Amino acid sequence: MDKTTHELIKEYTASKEATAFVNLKTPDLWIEAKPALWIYE
Amino acid sequence: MIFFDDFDKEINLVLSDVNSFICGLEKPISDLGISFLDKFKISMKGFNTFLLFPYWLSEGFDIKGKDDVSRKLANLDVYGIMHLRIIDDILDNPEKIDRNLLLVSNICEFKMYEISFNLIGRNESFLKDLEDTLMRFSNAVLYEKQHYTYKGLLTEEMKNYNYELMARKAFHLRIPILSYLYLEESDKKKRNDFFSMMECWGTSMQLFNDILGWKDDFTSGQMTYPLVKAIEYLEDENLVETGKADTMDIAAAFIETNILEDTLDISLKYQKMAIESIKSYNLYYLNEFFEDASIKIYSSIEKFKNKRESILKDIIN
Repeated sequence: MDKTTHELIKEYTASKEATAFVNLKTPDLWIEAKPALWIYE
Repeated sequence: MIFFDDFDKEINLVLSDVNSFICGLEKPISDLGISFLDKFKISMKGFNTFLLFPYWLSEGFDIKGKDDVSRKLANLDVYGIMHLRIIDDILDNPEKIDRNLLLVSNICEFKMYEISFNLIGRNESFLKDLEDTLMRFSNAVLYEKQHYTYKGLLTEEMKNYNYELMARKAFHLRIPILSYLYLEESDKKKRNDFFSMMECWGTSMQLFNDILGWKDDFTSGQMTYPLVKAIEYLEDENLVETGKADTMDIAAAFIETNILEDTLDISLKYQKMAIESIKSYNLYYLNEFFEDASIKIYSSIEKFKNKRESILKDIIN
């Protein structure tokens, strides 16, 4: 991949609300719990 | 998954055991413990899987009083996962977490050992196996903290990422297996098969989690297999300067390459190996769970591949 295309892909990624579409939808498997829920804000 | 409904009664029994023990502790430890457990069981999608693992395992062992043993080992699993989660969160977020949770974690750890010693009795080999399990776990955690923290440089250790080692962090699941093996006085082959299942399942889980949590991992400097591959690619192709990759570069790398599909492929391979290890023991529920996981991993590979290819087509046109 050349740098120009890489930058284009980055821009595209940014325009689609950050990196959401590179994430898979979380299936009901085994997922580790993230601590956010019990961290004191 | 439909068959989780078959275990409503067991899930409620075990949760009520753990709840009533924690409620009996002194305040504020009891309040802290209950509040942690309540939030934890909702936030962790795999919570019921870990809780039910001893019930599913019991199908493969010829022992007396299976219901009672499974219930005790399921209690052990809940205490084990709470203990691990608290330690892990305090290590990762020392300034944000109420450190009194450490006391809850200590009590949970004690309960794990109490349950297993009550079941197995005084047995030197069991104690030795337990010690080995703990050593393997501690070494994996230590190795991760020492070698997989990213500070802008991909080290040789990172480039030779050992995802099998990272799977050893799920040590609490090894204790129910050990307990069944000792209660049944199983032979060496069975022992190897069940431990192999555990290692393979753990590795598959670890890789899948690494994909789901790649953004959080990268932000916190926690190196995982797909992140190492992405940074290596970006630097080798001169798309970023050494140590300068940001979140958007990583996201782009996952679109430009097949790193995520490859990682999922490895995860799938280990899931199938887990199925293979126990196929001669007629473990209906565990096998169904593994098969279901394989289907979900496979469909994630397909979904991601299609999405990636269509995005690339869009951009390049």
